[in-house]
Amino acid sequence: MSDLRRTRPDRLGPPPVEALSDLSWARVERAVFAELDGAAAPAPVRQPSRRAWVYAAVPLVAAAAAVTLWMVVRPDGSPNERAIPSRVATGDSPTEVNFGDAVITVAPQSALVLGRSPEDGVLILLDRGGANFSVAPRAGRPPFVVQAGEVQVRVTGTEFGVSRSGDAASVHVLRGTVEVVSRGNRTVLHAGDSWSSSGEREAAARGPSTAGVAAAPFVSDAGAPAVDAGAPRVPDRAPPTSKEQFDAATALEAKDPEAALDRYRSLARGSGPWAANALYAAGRLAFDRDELRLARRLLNDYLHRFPRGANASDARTLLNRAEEAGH
Amino acid sequence: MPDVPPAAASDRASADRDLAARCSSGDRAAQRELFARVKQAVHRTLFRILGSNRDIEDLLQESFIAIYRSIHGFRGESSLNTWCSSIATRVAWAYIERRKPAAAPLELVPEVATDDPDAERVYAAREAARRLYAALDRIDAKQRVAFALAVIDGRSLAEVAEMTGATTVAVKTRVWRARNELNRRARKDSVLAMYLTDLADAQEGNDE
Repeated sequence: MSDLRRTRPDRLGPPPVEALSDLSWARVERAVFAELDGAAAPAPVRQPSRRAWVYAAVPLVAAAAAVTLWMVVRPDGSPNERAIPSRVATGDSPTEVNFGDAVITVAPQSALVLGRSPEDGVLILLDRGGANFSVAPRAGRPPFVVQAGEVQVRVTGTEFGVSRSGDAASVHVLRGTVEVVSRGNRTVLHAGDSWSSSGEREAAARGPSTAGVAAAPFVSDAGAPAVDAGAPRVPDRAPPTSKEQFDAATALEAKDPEAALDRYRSLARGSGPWAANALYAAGRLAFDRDELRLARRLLNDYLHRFPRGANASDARTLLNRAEEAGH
Repeated sequence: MPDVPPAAASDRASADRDLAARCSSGDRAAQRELFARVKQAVHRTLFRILGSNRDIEDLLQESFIAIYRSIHGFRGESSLNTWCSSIATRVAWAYIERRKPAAAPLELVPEVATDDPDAERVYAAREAARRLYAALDRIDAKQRVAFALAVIDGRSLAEVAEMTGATTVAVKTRVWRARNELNRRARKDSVLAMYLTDLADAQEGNDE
């Protein structure tokens, strides 16, 4: 075995830590501070007696049993719904997810977040790639909404596909009706219709199938991948490309965030997709470091320069949070 | 772990204690600073112990709430990063103890850029990691935590001992037992066997 070890050049290291998206971190942070804000009053001075615990435990156990029973027997409940929000990301193969009364087929190289909308309905955030949805009619049920960048698809009960590449999105309806909201404009699509965020509504020649859902890589319009916190590799050849400069700055974040910030800002002074990514990354890093004024300035600058950039939606979310935190 | 000059270590410990004290007094800016500073370390600890996990956001939330609720007990004997990682370790431990056998209807997989020239290698690592965590699912929680922190995450036995509240000898024994158990399971799984060998080599490299 030791000979084999010595002759194998392609040793596998520890599994890479999967990066969490900014939105996931935002959810965690919001939930933690909401919990702290709603923390219980100071601890009681006197410890309750064992008998008091028994008296208290009886109704609590009964209530817990009733809730558990209700969760099990209620007609529209499912374990997946209770586990939300969940992120689903696919590799080379599609995967099928049962989520409440919907069946979601996630295309290869796609990622989406299953969550709750403010009106207690279902909100699916399509990060990238595509997915097909088969949803029961919504009459009497909570709303079912798919968000792909700035495009929102509201479902009335249907079978349809949504795909996303950067901030561009397209929708195809196989059965039923959906309402698409993009930049304030509403469009109702019926079976056989297709829609894309370029503004053209066209009759679809064919409905979407699992294989037909675009498996678009997560790239901006100009072809640069959107910001990802994954560990980049820094090649040792010169001169460094914009991507290599960006990767080098990302690699510095953990050890020397100030230097990383400087590098991002320097790269952002240029033009092109990596300047856009660097400017967003600088804003995100400043926000992470609680430098809220700087974060606001950088994120505003990003939205001004790249209003349709691949990270525009995340930049707006962060900017809102920076503004909330600053007040 | 790189050696830290005594003066720098003292400054760091003092800054950590100051931040912890401000968090403990309810200073929201300090709490956010702590969140930003340690979030990657906490995430990494949970991920190393549990692997790809659909409950990761809930576990992060649970970890941070536990951190803020016990921050008044921070004495600066270890760095804030290590102290917070210890709490994440306890959260992961409790999760392993309480969770039911995995039904795993969803396949949560790490993302790989399609134009990554290293994609094939990353896929191989992913498959190997999947098998490793499937095997870890079947061994004792204490052994799993010790193995994950020492072998997968590459921490020293002393650090793992500090994080898990055990002696170094106990940690060493747990890692040894976990390795034996994994090797036993790997007899019928060449991918897992090769991966365990790679991890052992990497650990030897760390120890040298």
